[in-house]
Amino acid sequence: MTTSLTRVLLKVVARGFYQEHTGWLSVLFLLVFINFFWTRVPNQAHVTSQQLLEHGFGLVLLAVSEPLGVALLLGLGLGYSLKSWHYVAGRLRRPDLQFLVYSSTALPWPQQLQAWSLVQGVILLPLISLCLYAMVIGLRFHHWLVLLWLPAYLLLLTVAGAGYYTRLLNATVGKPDRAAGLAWGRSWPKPVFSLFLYEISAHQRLTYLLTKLASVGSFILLLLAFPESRTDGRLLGLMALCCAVGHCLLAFQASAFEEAYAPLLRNLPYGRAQVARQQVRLYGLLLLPEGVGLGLLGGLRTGLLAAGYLLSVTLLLRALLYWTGQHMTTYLRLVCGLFLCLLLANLFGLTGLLALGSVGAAAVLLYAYY
Amino acid sequence: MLHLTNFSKSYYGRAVLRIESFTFSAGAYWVQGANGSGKSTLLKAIAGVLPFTGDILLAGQWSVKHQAGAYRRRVNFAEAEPVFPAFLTGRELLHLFRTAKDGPPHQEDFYLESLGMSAYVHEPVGTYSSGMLKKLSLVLAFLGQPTWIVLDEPLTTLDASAIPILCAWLVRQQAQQGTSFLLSSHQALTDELLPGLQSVLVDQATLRYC
Repeated sequence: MTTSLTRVLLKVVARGFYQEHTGWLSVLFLLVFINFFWTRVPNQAHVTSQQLLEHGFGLVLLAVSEPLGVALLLGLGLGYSLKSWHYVAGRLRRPDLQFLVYSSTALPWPQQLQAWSLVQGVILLPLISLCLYAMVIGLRFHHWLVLLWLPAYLLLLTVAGAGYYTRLLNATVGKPDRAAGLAWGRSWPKPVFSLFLYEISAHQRLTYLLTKLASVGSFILLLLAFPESRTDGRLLGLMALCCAVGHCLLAFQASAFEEAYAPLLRNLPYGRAQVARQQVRLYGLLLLPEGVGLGLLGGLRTGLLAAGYLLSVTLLLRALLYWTGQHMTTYLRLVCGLFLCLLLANLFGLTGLLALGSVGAAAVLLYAYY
Repeated sequence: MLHLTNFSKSYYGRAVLRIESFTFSAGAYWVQGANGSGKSTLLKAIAGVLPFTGDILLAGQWSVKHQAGAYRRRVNFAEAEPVFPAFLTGRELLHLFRTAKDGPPHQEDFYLESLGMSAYVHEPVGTYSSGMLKKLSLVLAFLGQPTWIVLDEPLTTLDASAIPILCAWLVRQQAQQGTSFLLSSHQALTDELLPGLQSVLVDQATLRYC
């Protein structure tokens, strides 16, 4: 009975989760998973095969035997689950999934829970594979308890997620009858360029927060790494580049927002030049905190140049989406390639030229593909 | 029978509907009212897809809030402007609704054939026109064994030939299964198309018989 519901949920929720989080999962895989699977031993000639194994599996053994490692593994699982719950809850609020409220909820509760458990299991597949690996290695090194607590923990995360989604759908009518939307911003002016800022306030707060944290993180890391070069234009350029790339997810969301409201926005009598001006205003406001930070660090001339570079690269990242469309994988490849090219060029102190080149490329893409 | 008790719904603090008590006996009802009077709000609340204050009771035993599953198996709904994920096919949606609403196998075939939808129902709904989407949402509302079918603006975007077919479905469903209907429409529903239709008016934030 639940097969058809499971099939639909896999298509509309699980597939969407992987499509939207390709970049995030790739980074997680590169940074965490690969080291977790096998830690390379630098000088293998001087160690026995047993030592080599123990060192190679060091991280995974830590995760199944030591309290700190276990806590980290459990924390990773919880963090991944919370991210998936946040995504699915947001997805269920979208208009195109409202049909689930008046269809799937007619099924008995256990059947709904069963279907959602399968879907949550699919969403948790990267985590499940990681834990399976930990269980195999744990067994190989005689940590027998891992067979008990890891499956129980995964089951708990899966069922908790499924229960949360089922409750969300079924409780629609029982929610408090309160005003939806941004009550605080009702009387504020809303020019077209600012619409995405209101969308961020309403629905993209977490993405915005993570983006700004990434900006702060890159500022701190680069300043710690190069303490003697605080006013060097190349360092400020690098900071601007990192902040701009950190905003690629918000640029992607802005593009999705424009696509969703295309019938409204494209029907407005604005030419490409006006659209370009609107984007400068939008991203100028969005990047204001980073721009001020760069200005404070580099002084008027260098700081302003870096802030201009930040804005122009972000505009280019946004304009790329006119060319690629809503294809996250293609987009991320282009962003990575662009980041590497701009990073190398920035080492030669070409910030001004790069800023001009980026804004020029953004304009060309906008004119060609908008 | 559908009974609304202490029902109220507000948007941004403005009361759109406030109905102390109202009962829809079995039958077919045309819900009328001006734009913004609260017709769609009322129908969505009755369908159980919109939060509100108060309660709605079906046949004196199933509350939309407390027995939501049982209630939704008996009350079907079609939106005024249906939206579905573009990549799902019509067939997938039909299968989902039929199993969720506990309908017999191939129940949808009759509806698909009579509206001439069989040729495209296996295509993703993103390829459908607004009229095709509307027809799909109407078929979905007839699946299962509903006691009530709630149709918000069922006639908009439908082509002229589909309107008498839809009315024939309503008459057939009412005669064969005793299903009751709530329809909102700005187009006139004549007695020839739907005999025995009663009118209710949503006006000044409340509901009354015309």
